Amino acid sequence: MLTVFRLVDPWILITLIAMLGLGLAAVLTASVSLNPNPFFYFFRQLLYVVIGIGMLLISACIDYRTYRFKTQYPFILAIVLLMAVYMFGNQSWLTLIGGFHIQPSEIAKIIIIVYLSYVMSFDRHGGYRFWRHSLPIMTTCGFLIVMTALQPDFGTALVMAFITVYLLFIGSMPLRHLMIPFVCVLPMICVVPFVFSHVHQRIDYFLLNWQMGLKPWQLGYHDYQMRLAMGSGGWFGKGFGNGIIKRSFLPASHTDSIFSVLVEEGGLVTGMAVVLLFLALFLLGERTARLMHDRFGAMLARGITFYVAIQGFLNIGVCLGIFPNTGVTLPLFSYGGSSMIVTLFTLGIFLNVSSQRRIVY
Amino acid sequence: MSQSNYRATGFIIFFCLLSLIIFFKLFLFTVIQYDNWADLAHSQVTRQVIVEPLRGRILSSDDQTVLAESEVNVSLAIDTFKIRSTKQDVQISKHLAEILDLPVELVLSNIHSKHCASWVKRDITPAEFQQIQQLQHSGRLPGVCIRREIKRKYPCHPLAATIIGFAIGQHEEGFEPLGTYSNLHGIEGLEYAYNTVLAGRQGRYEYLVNRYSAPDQNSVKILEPLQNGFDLRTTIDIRLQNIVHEELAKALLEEKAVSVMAVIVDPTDGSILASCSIQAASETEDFNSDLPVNCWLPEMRRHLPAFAVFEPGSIWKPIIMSIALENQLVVQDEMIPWNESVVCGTKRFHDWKSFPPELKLDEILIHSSNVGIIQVSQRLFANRSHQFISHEIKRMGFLRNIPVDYPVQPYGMLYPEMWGPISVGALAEGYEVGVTLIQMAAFYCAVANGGYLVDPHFGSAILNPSDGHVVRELNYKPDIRIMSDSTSTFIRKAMIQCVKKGTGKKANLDYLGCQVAGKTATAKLLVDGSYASGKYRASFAGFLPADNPQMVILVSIEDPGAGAYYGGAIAAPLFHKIAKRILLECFNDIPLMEVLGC
Repeated sequence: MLTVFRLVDPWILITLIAMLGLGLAAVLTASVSLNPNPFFYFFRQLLYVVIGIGMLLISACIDYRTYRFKTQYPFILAIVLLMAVYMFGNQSWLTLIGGFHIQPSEIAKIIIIVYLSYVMSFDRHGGYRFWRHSLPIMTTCGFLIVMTALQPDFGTALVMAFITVYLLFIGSMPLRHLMIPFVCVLPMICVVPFVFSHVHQRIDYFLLNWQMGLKPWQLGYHDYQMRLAMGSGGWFGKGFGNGIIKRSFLPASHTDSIFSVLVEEGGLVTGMAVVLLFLALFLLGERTARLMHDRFGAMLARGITFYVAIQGFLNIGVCLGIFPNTGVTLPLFSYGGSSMIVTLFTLGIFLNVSSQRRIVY
Repeated sequence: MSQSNYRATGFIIFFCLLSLIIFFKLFLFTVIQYDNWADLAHSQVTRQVIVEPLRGRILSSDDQTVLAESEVNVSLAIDTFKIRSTKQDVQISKHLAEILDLPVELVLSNIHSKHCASWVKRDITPAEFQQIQQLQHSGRLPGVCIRREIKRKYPCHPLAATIIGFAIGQHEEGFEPLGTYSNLHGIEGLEYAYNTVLAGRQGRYEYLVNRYSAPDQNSVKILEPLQNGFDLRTTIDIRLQNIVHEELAKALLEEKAVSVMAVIVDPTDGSILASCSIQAASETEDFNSDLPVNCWLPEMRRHLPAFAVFEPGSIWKPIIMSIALENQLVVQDEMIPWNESVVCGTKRFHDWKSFPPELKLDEILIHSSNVGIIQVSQRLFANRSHQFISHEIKRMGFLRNIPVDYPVQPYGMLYPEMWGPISVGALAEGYEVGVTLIQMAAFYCAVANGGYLVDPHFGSAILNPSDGHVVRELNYKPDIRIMSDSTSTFIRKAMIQCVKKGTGKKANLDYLGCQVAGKTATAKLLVDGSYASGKYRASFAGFLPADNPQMVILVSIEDPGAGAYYGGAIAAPLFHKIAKRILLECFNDIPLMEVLGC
């Protein structure tokens, strides 16, 4: 185990520790007024982080090549869990016997990464055939995505779709094969806002951002409160714990809107630091991938870092009005057990991959 | 492998571009639009509350009697939209009607009014307040709010009502849907003149609220501290004011006059001890003096001693005499020739009775001889220009705004550029000049105190409302000399003789051991541009005790309708009644001789 950490890229560890520390501080300050006990959410998050680090240590010690041969079992597990949510669960949550809630869509994300990394790592010598290779891969992934979307959890489904497209693209699938699902899926996506009213509303609110001459308070309530929190931060923020918009005004202050709380109290500087941390993780994943001996490891490193980064950028973009609201949390920052544990487990795999890269002096 | 790297490089560029967009947006919000967002955020999370100050009291000269004070009232208002949205309007109106002892329909109609808020009851009692608070705590009265209001009260009303004036609440636009009556502003009288002292300063507080507008108790910040208004100590002696008021009210009925007024001034420093005017109510209008002053008709609200400009008549003669003496145009023991009549321009002036062919100078004042004073006036006009005479009259304290601490009053009338030959006689008799009673009183103060011009005033000191300590003394020390000691002594002696054996015999108080100095006057009233027959103004100016004057008293009766109209016949007895009551009632606990300095 120590060998793994001795060989791993130290910059990855530094980035992860910085993110976890900043995330814990953010949860502490964002949730003080949500519960009579100001440390209620902080201690729970601390517990999740501890469990998550345990999972990270376990997964970092398992050789990543182990996942190569048994991808069908987790895949079946993911389908079973998603089916269970569909039948017994509440929205995207599944209640276990101990009173714990888990979010199977979080688990589905990691499973899709491992599965795609595996199937895209075969050397097909450029002989990609649509019916034989591309279509089955896309169908299996599409099945998972559609099931997630139908829970309905469009945010996670969107992230899964992004991961799928990215891994297929990176895995050298011909572009013409990638175009076909786009053409097929596009009409379905266009129908979604008309079927689900909340999606329609979110897009309406998003479009308000681009309307000229609109008064700020005519934005949607959530959008307006996030702007207020960030805008009143200034260069260096109001100081740790001094934010006021987060007190009862800002919805989901400790989950989806945690970036606004960070900017309100830490200012522009902290906001930029968070963005740079996510960008650094993505670049470190890319660096690791290019130093790998095998395709599977490279695909894993790229997929895992892309998954964390795209989710972070999506969340931050939502806060700033660059994307419509997707309901995606900020990984490693937002409060939430399933997400934190699964993300840290996934990053454990990435650490293991990193420890087996070519060392270049 | 290499194709993967190329494609991945594309994604790296994509993420870097996305980061740049995010940086730009962040910079836009947190730095460029910072002021805008910070203002919006501040206004969202804070609420301001304004606490009205208590308006200061107005006190009598001994601080014992309160002439005006403020009272905190609790009033009940309702947020009609909130009540209607809870659909409990019938229930709430039943609760309120039961506690406040009002008909249920009335409360219901208030709730269903088209305005967003309305009063249910102003000035509720403490018991009602407690019951309503209990119900509010149990959450059964949503939309019912309790408001603190400040109300002005005048305990001595209608005594000195026209001096004090009144203050009423002003509605600040856009601040409160109901419009509070608390934002008190002085509108007339002392309330207006001393408004800045009495008003105090509003307290402004700021506190944080949460999303549901519930206040955070620990976050109260003082933006401007609350400062209650200062108390004003006036020079009004409430006992004198009371006596004057009662006697004037009696005289008005007895003499069937249009108006009566009187003023008592301390000649040493010009404090107005009492000042009162009573007007006969016109027959067409109902007049109830128990109503608040702001409900009176505007002409009834005027304080006539300071407001009414009239032609003084014979009480003007000492002014002409003192100007002539000061300019050495006459000598004190000079003999003035007397005739039946004297001609000035086109008018022949007669005297009111026959005198010996030569009059001593002081006998002109003692017997109020018209011909005698016109002789003096002729010498004045022969040697001096009109401008000089008008300047001398102004120097005597006329044509200025007094009382000095009172809202702007008429300056009086004097038109030297329009004087003709007739004016020589008319001015000597006290016509062709307009003065107010307090201006006349200021002149007689100078006569009484040895020639110093006083500034009549109402304010005496400004007091701290919490402990009653004096914050600032209002000093009006007389320091301008308008006539020499010998002139003032000459006039004073003439006035004493006037009461002893002249026209003012009925003001004599010698039987009480108090020597009175006085001068009577009877002036014709100018009605529509000509002097009407049978319409007079009877006046009396005097001070007592004559050798050590403590108070100057002037009374004036306009258009008496009960037969007698001479100043000596009706004004002197009124002066006598007032002075006698003052001596007997106000100083009954100390030996009279001590008071009078005998």
